[in-house]
Amino acid sequence: MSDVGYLTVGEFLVALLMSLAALSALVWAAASGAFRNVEEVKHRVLELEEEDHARRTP
Amino acid sequence: MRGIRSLAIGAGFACITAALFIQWFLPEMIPATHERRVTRAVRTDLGEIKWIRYESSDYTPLERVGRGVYIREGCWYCHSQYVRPVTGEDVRWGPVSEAGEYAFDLPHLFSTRRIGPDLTRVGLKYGDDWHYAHHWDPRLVVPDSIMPSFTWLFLQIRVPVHRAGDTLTLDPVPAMRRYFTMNVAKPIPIYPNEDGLTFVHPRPDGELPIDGTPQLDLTAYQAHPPVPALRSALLLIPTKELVGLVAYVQKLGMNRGAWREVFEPQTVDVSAMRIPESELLLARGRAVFAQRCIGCHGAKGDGNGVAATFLSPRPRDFTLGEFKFRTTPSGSLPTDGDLFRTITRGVRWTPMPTWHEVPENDRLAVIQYLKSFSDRWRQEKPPAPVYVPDPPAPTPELLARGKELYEKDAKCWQCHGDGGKGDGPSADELKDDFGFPIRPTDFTRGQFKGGSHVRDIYRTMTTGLDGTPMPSFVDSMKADERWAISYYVLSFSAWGDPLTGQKLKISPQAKAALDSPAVRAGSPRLAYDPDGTPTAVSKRNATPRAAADGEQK
Repeated sequence: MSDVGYLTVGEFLVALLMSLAALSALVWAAASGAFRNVEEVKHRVLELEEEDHARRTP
Repeated sequence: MRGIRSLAIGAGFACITAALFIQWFLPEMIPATHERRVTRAVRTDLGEIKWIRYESSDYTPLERVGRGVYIREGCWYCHSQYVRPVTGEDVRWGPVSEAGEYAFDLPHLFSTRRIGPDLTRVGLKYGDDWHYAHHWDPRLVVPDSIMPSFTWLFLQIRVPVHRAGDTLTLDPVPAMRRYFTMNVAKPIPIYPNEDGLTFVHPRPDGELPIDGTPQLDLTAYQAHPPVPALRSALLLIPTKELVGLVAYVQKLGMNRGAWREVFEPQTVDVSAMRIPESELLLARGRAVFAQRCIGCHGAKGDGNGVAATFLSPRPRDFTLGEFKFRTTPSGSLPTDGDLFRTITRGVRWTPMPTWHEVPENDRLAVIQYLKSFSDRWRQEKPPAPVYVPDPPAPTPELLARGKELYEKDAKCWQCHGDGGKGDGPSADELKDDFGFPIRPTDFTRGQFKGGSHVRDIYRTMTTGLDGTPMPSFVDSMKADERWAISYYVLSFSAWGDPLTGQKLKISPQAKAALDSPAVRAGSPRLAYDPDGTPTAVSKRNATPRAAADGEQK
């Protein structure tokens, strides 16, 4: 294979590997529960704030 | 679930590691990564340009200073340094870039955007003076440029001026002693422009102080009064950083040697051409002149443009109707074809660049306009061009005859020197017809103002260069003698580096091979390989593409 051909294939490989890396990160995140019940977080923040407020108010 | 997570994170890291390996480590294994040799155009003993594989050279310390400035000032945001292997690039800029050209570029400055022009092949396109003017204010020489000024790369001294009649003298301020030795035995002529801007040529190494005393020279205004009523002059001295930057820019592309001598788009072979006059063409020519020429040649065509203070030799004064590069006899007007050739090719090693990129019609139109500056064009007609026959085949005997004539009969050495360096005994005293000092051409660099084909040298010897001390030899020497001298003059630059004038390290065997007509080596693809050990690059290119090069092996 010529240098230019090698470099071109190399760039494709790099792109493919970086995409796979990104896909792996996505799978890892999904498996870790990052996408589970995504609405939950804001409610929790709100509830915590209210609890905190209630605790401070005599 | 934990298994999937571990697998995913492991796979992610593995993929990134593999990508880094491919991107960073594997390229090290490609031969081209370590290639230092490039194809280089050299002039042979017999005056031909041939291509050879040759080691590229590193930057000098001064050029490294300039490279640092290039990086610091962010020149690479707007200027690329890569002639791409796609249609038209090699016609616009020059030969396509090769890996070996970047051997000393760490980090490389390829860049990708071309807000300004590509600079890979800018070396020796312009003279140093042009670059100084361009860095002070790009609009002086390129009116539609969007490049910023780099005024902080100049030392600036405001000096009061005394006026007595038509002479102006500088009133030395203490600051001048920091920059000049004020040696009275060595006057430095400096040429103010109408605004008082006065450029001072730096030392070649960019250091200070400059030896001598600056003196305002008003020769340019004596032919075209009035002398400007200046109260002060602003002296501009390039800093070492700028001297380095210009040296760096001149080095760009020079590892490919004398390629410009065989760069087809700027080669013009017409002489007897005449352009029909028309109002439309004249109007177009005026617009082109205002866009491209006015900064140096001035609105009146008298060579007193605002940028003229920077330039040496001075821009041509069109009002006298005297032109250096002609096919017509000494003392006569040039043909339109002559002017077209000068504009297209430029005048090498001077601030007059090549204009091959400007549309042909614009070049033709501006010729029409610059003829309007002198009455001579209305009173005289250019005579028939001198016949320049086909050159005789160069032989070692012809060169020996040329050497003899150069040294004895024609006495070329008096101005151009024994070694052709332009340092003959009378070189320092020469002045042109306009009263400005003029240096004889340094033949060792092979940068000939009127063209570097042997036909061009012969033509110059035949017609002389009007307005300069270079006479015509048509009456004093026979045609075969002029051919012999022409070949000898070309041989001074044989095996030389156009930038430094130094000889390349080429083995006697390689020189003999390139001198022989059997080795044509007429394009980078067919470059002669002195080692005979084909590199990865040359092996691939062993079969030439006749259609691309217009040449059969």
